[in-house]
Amino acid sequence: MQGLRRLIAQKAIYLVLTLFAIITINFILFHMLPGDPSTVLLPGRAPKEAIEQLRIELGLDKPWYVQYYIYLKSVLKMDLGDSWYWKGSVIDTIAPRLMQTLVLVGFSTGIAAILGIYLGIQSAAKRGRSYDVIATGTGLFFYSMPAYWLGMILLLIFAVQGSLSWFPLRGSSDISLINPSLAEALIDRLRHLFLPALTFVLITFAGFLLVMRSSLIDVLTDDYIVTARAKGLTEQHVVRDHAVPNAMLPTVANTAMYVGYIVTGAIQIEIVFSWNGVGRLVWDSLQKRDFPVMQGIFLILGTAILLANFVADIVSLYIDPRVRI
Amino acid sequence: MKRTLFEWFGGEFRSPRMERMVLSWRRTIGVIHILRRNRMGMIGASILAFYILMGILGPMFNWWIFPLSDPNDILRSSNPAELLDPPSQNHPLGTDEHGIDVLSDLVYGTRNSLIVGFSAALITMVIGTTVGLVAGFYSRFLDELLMRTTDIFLVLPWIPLAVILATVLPPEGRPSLWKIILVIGITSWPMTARIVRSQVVSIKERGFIERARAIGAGSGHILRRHMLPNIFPLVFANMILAVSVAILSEAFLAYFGLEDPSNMTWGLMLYRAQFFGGFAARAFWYILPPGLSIAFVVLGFSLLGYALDDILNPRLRHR
Repeated sequence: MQGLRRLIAQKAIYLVLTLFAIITINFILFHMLPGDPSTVLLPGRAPKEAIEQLRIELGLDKPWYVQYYIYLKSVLKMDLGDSWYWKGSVIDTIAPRLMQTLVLVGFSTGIAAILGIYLGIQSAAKRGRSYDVIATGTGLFFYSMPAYWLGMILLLIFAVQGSLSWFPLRGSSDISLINPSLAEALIDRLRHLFLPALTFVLITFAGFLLVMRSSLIDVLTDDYIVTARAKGLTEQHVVRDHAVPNAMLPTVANTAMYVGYIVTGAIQIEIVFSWNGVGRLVWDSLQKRDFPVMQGIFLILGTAILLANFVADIVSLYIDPRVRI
Repeated sequence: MKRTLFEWFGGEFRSPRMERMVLSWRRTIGVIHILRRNRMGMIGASILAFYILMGILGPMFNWWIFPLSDPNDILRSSNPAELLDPPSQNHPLGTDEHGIDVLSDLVYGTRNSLIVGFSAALITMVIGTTVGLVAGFYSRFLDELLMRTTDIFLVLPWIPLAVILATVLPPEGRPSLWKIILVIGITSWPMTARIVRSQVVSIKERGFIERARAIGAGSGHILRRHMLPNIFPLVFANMILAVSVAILSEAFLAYFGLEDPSNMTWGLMLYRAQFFGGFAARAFWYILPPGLSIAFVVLGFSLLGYALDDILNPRLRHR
């Protein structure tokens, strides 16, 4: 246990260092962006004095190390500055959209993980047979698609006017509903959620499937599985109770590596379906040249991916004794 | 007795260099033989062969099968009389919002998409392999330093990072194919670096490296003659997989409007289809071909990459 505690402490130190590095990279990147904020914030032909005034207000007249120090200090105080385009602070702009994203991503990643892991187990157990070829092949095919394209196609089939029109075209809820009952509101939300979530599940479940399948195939060649079979246990029993628990461990560790891919997919899907989340905000802030908001999103997404990695590391430390060595 | 070409040239006394070439040639032939029995790998290779031929030959021999118009030259090729027309005899895949037929877009886009895929994957491989080699082979300190850096790059959110880099890189404000390639190359090396490093670390402990050291081989010699040949199969399989990632990444970046409009790619087609009327007109003939092409090519590279990984990766061979 002594060693475990030391490992966790070491990982925590790395976590802090990496976080610091992300903040620094964030600062550098956004200082390299072309265009002075004054050209974005002030109308057309502002007088020189006004530009000067604004630069002083934003602290752009100070040398870079002072700006860096101020930036560090405000980030530690959870103050990410004010949005240029939306009213209010960056945090207030991002927070409600982060909730929307979490609803979409949490819901669909859960389904994708269950589906992917289940199909992965079945494919590994029936390796090389038609079940495996069909499940893995279908998964890989969807995995190979650009997420936004699959979204476009689903919209064209199920949502656009003149098509089946089963589902709403955009957004996360119908704002024209006035005082809906709870059931109505819930059905409305689910109808809006369906297509984005479907797209999300289709493009991500193969990731879970592949990891689960390969790690289970690995485990199934181990000696103790041969022993279990020799004892006369049924194949189903061997797979479910002897192989799967051990094969789950790498799946947990690999899920963390997968978070980055999930974020990339979520951003595209939100844009296609006009889902009012962080991904949509990346797009909007790019169009509006709202750098503080972009900077804030960059920081928050980076921190989220980092934390997910950290949690997965710790979890696999606890459940897998082999990692501790 | 049958003799190989190399034996004719080198005779009985082959130089070490010749010996190595013969060996690597035989190894390649061996891998191809195993690959031919791998059904998934062969399916992937056939898909790729089809698209690569289309990318190379399509624009060159456009008058052979079907008259194509160059979509990179919008001024000359556009035809306002046939905007977003459904498939017809003259335009087997219909036309786009400029009146250029979609087949031309697709064929010209194939070439550029593949160029982006291969070049970006090459950059990824060079950076990733170098970092992985140096980290795994030299001192503990360098290892820590490089791997921590790799970890940082692994957690940076890709889309915002790529979008900012595409804006920052010179020439500012002018999108170009090379910028896209560079952005993808310098953002996707960390995974490769990790894989290469773990392989280098395990090879370093093996006996033949110690033996080489004992007879006085320097680090440079060991790296070149022993490390590189041993990690090359792994690097190669990973490069194939990296091409598929790069082609997908290109499609994402194009969707953000970061691409040069005078270099047709599949991603650019989708971007235009979504934002310049194709989507609103429900032009399936315009939206399906580029997306399906991306899906098939990425699938092809993945199948081939996994098959090669299965064959070449010594860790997996016992299965």
